Amino acid sequence: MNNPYLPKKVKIIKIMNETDDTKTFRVSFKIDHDPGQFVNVSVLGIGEAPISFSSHSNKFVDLCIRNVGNVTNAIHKKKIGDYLWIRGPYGKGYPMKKFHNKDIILVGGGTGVAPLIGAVDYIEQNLNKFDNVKLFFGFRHDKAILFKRNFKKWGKLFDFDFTLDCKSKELKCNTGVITKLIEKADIKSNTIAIVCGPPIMIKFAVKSLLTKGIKEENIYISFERLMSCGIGKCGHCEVGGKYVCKNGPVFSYDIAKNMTD
Amino acid sequence: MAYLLKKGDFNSFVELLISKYEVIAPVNNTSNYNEIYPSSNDTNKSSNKTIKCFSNIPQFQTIKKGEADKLVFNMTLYSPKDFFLPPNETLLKFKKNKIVEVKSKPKKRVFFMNRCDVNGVHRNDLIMLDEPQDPYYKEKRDNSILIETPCIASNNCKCVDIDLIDCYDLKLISHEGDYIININSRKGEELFDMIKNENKLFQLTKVAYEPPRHKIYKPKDVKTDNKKTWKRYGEDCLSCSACTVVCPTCMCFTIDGHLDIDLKSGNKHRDWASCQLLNFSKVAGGFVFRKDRGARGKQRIHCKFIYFKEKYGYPRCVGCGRCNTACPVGINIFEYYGELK
Repeated sequence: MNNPYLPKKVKIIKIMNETDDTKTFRVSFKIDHDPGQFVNVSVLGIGEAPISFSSHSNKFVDLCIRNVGNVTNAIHKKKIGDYLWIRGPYGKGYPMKKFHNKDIILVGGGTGVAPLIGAVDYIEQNLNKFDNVKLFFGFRHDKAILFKRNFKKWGKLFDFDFTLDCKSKELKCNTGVITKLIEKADIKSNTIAIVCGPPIMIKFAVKSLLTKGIKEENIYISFERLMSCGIGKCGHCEVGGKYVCKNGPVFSYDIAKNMTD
Repeated sequence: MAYLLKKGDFNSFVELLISKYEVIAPVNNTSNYNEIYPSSNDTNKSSNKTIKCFSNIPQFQTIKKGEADKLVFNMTLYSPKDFFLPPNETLLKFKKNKIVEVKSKPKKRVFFMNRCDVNGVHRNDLIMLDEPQDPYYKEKRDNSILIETPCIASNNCKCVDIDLIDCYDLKLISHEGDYIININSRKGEELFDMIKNENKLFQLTKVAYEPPRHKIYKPKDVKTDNKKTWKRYGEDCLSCSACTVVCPTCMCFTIDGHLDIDLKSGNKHRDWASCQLLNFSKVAGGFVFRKDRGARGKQRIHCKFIYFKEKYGYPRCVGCGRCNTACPVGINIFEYYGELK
């Protein structure tokens, strides 16, 4: 019988340093997936951690991982050519096909940017299927900026802007909260919005998106929870009767607003 | 189909099952202290103190040959869930970067259970055998046959409000001092065919039996946002998680890794987890989503009565009342359910 707990062995083929504590691991894992879905990455003997896709390709998978716990610490010690164990993909991602021929705005904060990159990759590959694309990212300070290498490319392709919480000496950019960018921008009311980041950022970003006239069911947010099994059995990620791992992690806001602890 | 079994033949009926299966049933536990806590220095035989330790709390145990009379129908303190989801279960083993699946030889088991426990197993089936199926649970479940026993109510149980369903394989019904055995499933039929073929000691006569009709559970409108109730729960609860340990339907677990001392081999295993503990919702970085005991209590009561019903159509609570017995501060789950209405 098919054992859903059995992980596959994958090789690390590239490691990209993002910040002091964040690295992006490219692994040779060929699988069909939606942006916004996640995999359970394990290091044998240490444990498992759910990590979302930060790429959209059928040749490899990028995993942007911040060193915050036992498992992520063990992953950070891996080098090119080492192996990781992966099972997945799990959950429901962004229904990208539903977004075709519409304006789209992606709002990301901190490490919450990582799951959005999968959607950004998808949009890049299908650029003619989307109208206006806005990309707003927020980071704590200039040393915490992720995916900086792509900023030039995004600047050409999309309406791209980012903001920092603390003023930077080296970079000329916006400072302050991300809602400032949203408020300044010219956003149509039928736009699709994807928001991912810390809970407090999601709360205020959604608030200002709603004032722009975007419908609740067109705002997609990601939930962050402790997950263990990834297949809706272990119970850790249950919020308001929904399993974040199985029914989410992406929820439209009209459903998400009723999901409270 | 139903058969009549004379009360005097019940023990030989159980003995027949023991000869073919591992029979697990509630047993009144009277064992020696030394058996429960074997001392480390057994060499010191001069101080052979055997403390008789009688406890009147029945416990699910494998019944040995010739001990059929030990079987009771009383409510146990611990639920039979650990026969299906052990407190610590190895999922995979690995050695030098190679994974070996753990294959166990499942034993064919027959369980004697109360109506609420049979329903508890049914609720666990709903979640564990939902797609994708949990292979470790399924293996144990496929090899088990559930016999529902006549119910002896405890002081704390309250299944009348919950409306349990018929999901047994075989059922023993008290009938004028004897038992009627009713068959409800294919597994039950197979077991009964075996009994008919092997039996030489007692008589089974066909009788007519109409299972009683149960009213269908009608979901009630509930108010979920009752802040005062959860504040009170938070003030009462000690967050000891005893309620989730004894509950027959609390099946939450945590998957973790273990490394042997040679640093090359180890395993991936799962342990029981409890939503009543702080770490249950703690994410990387240390943030806890349900920091308050009241919030954890809210999750538990809602999971039992509302969330599970939304997902699988039945309430997760089966009304056995074990949590009420185990709770050191006397939190009564039915009281809180009443306040939700």
